[in-house]
Amino acid sequence: MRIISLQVDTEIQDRKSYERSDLELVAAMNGGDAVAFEVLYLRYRDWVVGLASRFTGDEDLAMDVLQETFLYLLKKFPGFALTASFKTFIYPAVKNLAIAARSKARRYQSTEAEMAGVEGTPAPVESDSPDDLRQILKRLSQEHREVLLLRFVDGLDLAEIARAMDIPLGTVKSRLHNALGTLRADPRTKQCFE
Amino acid sequence: MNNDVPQEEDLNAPPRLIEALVQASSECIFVPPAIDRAILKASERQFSHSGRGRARRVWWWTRLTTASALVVAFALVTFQWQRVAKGRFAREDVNHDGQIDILDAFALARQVKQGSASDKRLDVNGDGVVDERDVATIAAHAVKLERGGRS
Repeated sequence: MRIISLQVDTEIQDRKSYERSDLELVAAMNGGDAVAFEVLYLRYRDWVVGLASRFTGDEDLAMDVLQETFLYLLKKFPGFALTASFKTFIYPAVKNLAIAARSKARRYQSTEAEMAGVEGTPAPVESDSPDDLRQILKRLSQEHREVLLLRFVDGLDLAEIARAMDIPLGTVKSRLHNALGTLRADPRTKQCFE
Repeated sequence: MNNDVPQEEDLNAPPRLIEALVQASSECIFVPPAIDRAILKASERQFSHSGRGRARRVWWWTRLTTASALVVAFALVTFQWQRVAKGRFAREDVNHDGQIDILDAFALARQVKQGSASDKRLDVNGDGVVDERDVATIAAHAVKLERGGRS
């Protein structure tokens, strides 16, 4: 009976861990709670790897960025204060690490091409998705696409986007407006607005 | 150049578009368990290290505080003992009750009668001997004090 009780207590504690807010988890992590980190990691892992994939265009690089991002987060403990939403805080780290990873990968590919005696290695061809919206999104500028996806896919509000991207709120609004305008004008996505 | 900032209502997207955006962006990327394990292992190392450091600091702080308290207590006890031993009480205050009165004369008289008045400090008249004359001196002093000072 006692063993079952302990098991139930553990399950209840696990459920309670997963119900904790990001702030509560960060506070626990400052106290040395590794379980709290695990909860936070699992909560945001898929979002981070998806974001990294958006920036790198490569799943393997996205995995590297995922690891580097959470190792970067770990180094901030103890003594870390979460003063914004977690996504707002981690977004710049993911972006910068992804850009660095992509640059490094491109340099490596260029070096390999030189060593093989090939004058120029063609850039990796991104597979064209049959999805019209994906094609349209690719045609948006990176800045416009970022704002659009952060707003409607990742759920950040305008102020959080401004903070995450370190740009003025007015710039966020302007880019979002332009992105929506592009989608509204395109006959393939126009019906979404009707 | 049009510097107007778009209004909030112009920045909303219809639910159909949002749904389409979510579908277009949601790639299901499989994260190998090995990567999860590597990251979580790093976290265990990080938190056990910082936890050990923290525990060490708390341990040292507790010991330091306890040691300081003991030193202060010892110093206080020693100081008080020395204060008593050095006779911070007046010489005439034979019974060390903080007052010089006839009770001190009685106490000295008892010691002289018993032959136990060996403390040289009790030689209040300075004749080199602790005897009934010192008892009389203390009694006179006590009376003087009761009368309010000098006679």
